[in-house]
Amino acid sequence: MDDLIANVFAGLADGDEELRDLHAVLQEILPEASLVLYGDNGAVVGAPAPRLAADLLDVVRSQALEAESFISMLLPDDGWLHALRLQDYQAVLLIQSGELGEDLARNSHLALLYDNSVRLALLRCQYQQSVIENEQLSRRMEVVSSKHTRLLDDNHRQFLLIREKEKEYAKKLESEIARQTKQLRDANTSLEEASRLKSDFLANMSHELRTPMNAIIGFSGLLAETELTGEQREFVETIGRASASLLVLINDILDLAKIEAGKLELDPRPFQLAGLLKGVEAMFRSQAARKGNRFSCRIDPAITGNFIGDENRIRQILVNLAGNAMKFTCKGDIGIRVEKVREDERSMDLRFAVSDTGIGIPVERQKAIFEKFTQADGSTTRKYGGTGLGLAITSQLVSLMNSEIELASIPGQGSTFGFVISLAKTTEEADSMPAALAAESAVLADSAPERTMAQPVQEEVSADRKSPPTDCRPWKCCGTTGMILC
Amino acid sequence: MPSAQDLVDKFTDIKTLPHVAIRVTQMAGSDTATMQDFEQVIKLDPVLVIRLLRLVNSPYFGLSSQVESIAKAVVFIGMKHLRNIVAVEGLRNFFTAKEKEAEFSRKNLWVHSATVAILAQMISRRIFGEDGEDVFLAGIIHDIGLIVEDQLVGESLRRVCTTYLAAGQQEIMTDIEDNIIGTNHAKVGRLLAASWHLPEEVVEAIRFHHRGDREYPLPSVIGILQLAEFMACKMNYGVVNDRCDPLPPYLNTHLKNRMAEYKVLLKALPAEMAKARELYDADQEK
Repeated sequence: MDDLIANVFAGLADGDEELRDLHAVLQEILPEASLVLYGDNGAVVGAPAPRLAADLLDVVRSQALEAESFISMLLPDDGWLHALRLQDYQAVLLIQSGELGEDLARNSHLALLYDNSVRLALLRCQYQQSVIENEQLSRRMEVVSSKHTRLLDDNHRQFLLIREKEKEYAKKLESEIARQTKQLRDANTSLEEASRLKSDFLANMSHELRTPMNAIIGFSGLLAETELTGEQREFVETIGRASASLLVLINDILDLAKIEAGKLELDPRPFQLAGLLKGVEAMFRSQAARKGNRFSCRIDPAITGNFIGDENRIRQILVNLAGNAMKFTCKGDIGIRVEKVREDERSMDLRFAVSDTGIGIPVERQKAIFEKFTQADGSTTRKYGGTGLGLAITSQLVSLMNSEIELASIPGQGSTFGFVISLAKTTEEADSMPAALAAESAVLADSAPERTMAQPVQEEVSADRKSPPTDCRPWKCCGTTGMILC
Repeated sequence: MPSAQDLVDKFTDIKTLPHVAIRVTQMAGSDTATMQDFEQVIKLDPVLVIRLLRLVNSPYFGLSSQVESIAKAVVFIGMKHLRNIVAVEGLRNFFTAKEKEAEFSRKNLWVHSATVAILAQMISRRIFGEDGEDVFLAGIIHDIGLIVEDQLVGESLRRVCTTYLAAGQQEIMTDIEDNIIGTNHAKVGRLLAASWHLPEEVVEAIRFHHRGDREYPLPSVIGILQLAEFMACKMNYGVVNDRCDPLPPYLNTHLKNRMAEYKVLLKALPAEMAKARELYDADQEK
């Protein structure tokens, strides 16, 4: 390594600078002595002893190379020569001193003096090197410290930049959120407006839609009374059936529209619960028989007396739920149960439950079926028919009564729809036939021509009770003849 | 005979400095880049992330705490230093040895480049009290032109080496290259460095590192690079055996005046090289 370093400086000045430095320092310490340094590379620093024969010099040098301390040699002219190997400098030091000429092996004081002098000289040289090393170290420390400062500055600069960026980003995010919120709000407003307009329109269309439908149903009934060929009769009956089911659909849509437009209000009156259920049961009796279903209604014996409530709407709810149960059940059980949940002096909480042993509803669809136009799955509609409006209306009606429909269902085993409503108790007698029915139902009483055709239809239908259409029943109500559509 | 630009164009078709390294180099010179930007760019190369973190935690940097993210590395060693390590990583695979390497060896060149880089940084720090980040970059990249020549006109380069070895001590390698190849590695390296958007001073240092006809008052990047190159060659870390261009007179004077200081510095070189071993020793991974 030292050779390589020497290489670097070979072309510059002489490679013996170190030796010359050492020589100068030694000479300073031992001004009396004559000192010569012989480098291994052939360099000679200091005045060589003039009287010294070259071969003798070689002997001394080769002896010194082996020895670890001074060796002494008596010269032919009676003087002494002392030699020391300096390993670090790759050189041999020769000391010749007239006055102190003596064998160092014998004179330990002199040996100590020389030893110490050389050691001092070496230390001084080392000291110079240490000074340089120290200088370099302090420069490196300066570099580190200035780098430290620079890193601090730079990190601070980055910190400011990042903070700035974050602020900008936050601002951007904020304005973006505000913009999107506004957009959503606007969209929502216009959607609400559109929905309200649609519901208003439908609610207002009620009369306009029902009137012509009733004319079609009525006149096709009348037409069936006339003399017809078998084929014509078949056509007329098809018209009658089709228009009856269309009317059901229209009524559903109109009901829903009315509820959504907030135009439907409950009409609480005193009513008799048992009578209500009996009516519902009668309605489904024949249909149940046709599909091989057992249909039963049971009221908790603890429930007595009359209540105040919107009998028609409760009936509509039960008919809808029972109708559904009937639609999806074949050769099974369908039941309506009414139980008392709570009672105080003024009111009673009743739980209505409609259960079936039909196909059931998968868990993931149990929420969706209460939405408009939805059934448990798309294929249900094709298999079982229906508009998907019934449950939406039902759940809206139940919530109008401050309650909520609960559903428990296991696919393949059946479903139970239930709700709890609070009804005020009353001692008042129920109207034998609720007036509300007449008001709410599609009354065919407005124009003379319609009345003339409505009358026979109603009579005809009541005459043939063997198979009344489930959802289209004639009622006599406060002297007004009309058709109630559930 | 091909021009320097011809060689660079052909070379960049074969090998390019990874995109990440170029982006990092640009960012290191920018006032608006932050540690997050570095992290984002470097993360694109997961292997690089691992290598960088290993190097940052190596004895060369002597950090007292473990650095486990690029952002933290930026905080502790600074952008320019990180740029240098990315450059080392990017260049490493340029220097993979070929089978027959007699007159010219890529492996030797890599060790030469690393030695020059480390020496140059030591000179910066110990003699001039500067951090020498650009000087290090110049050192590691200054002979990249030789790789280009080896790749494209290898036979001619070998003839250059033979001629150079036989020529007199005053002959300069780039002149022989100009005669035989038609251009030289300093010109090629300068174009390549400029295309990688290295700092202007580094590009100029690469361009003139074999020229002795102008003075660049110390501590200039080129002055320090030439000092380091001279010493590395003299200490058997040369490119073509121990052939060495003569130092320009002004640097010669400088070296003579501060010989004692440089001696101390050179004595510390083996230790510094050992500390930086992970930086340049490709076999370290195994």
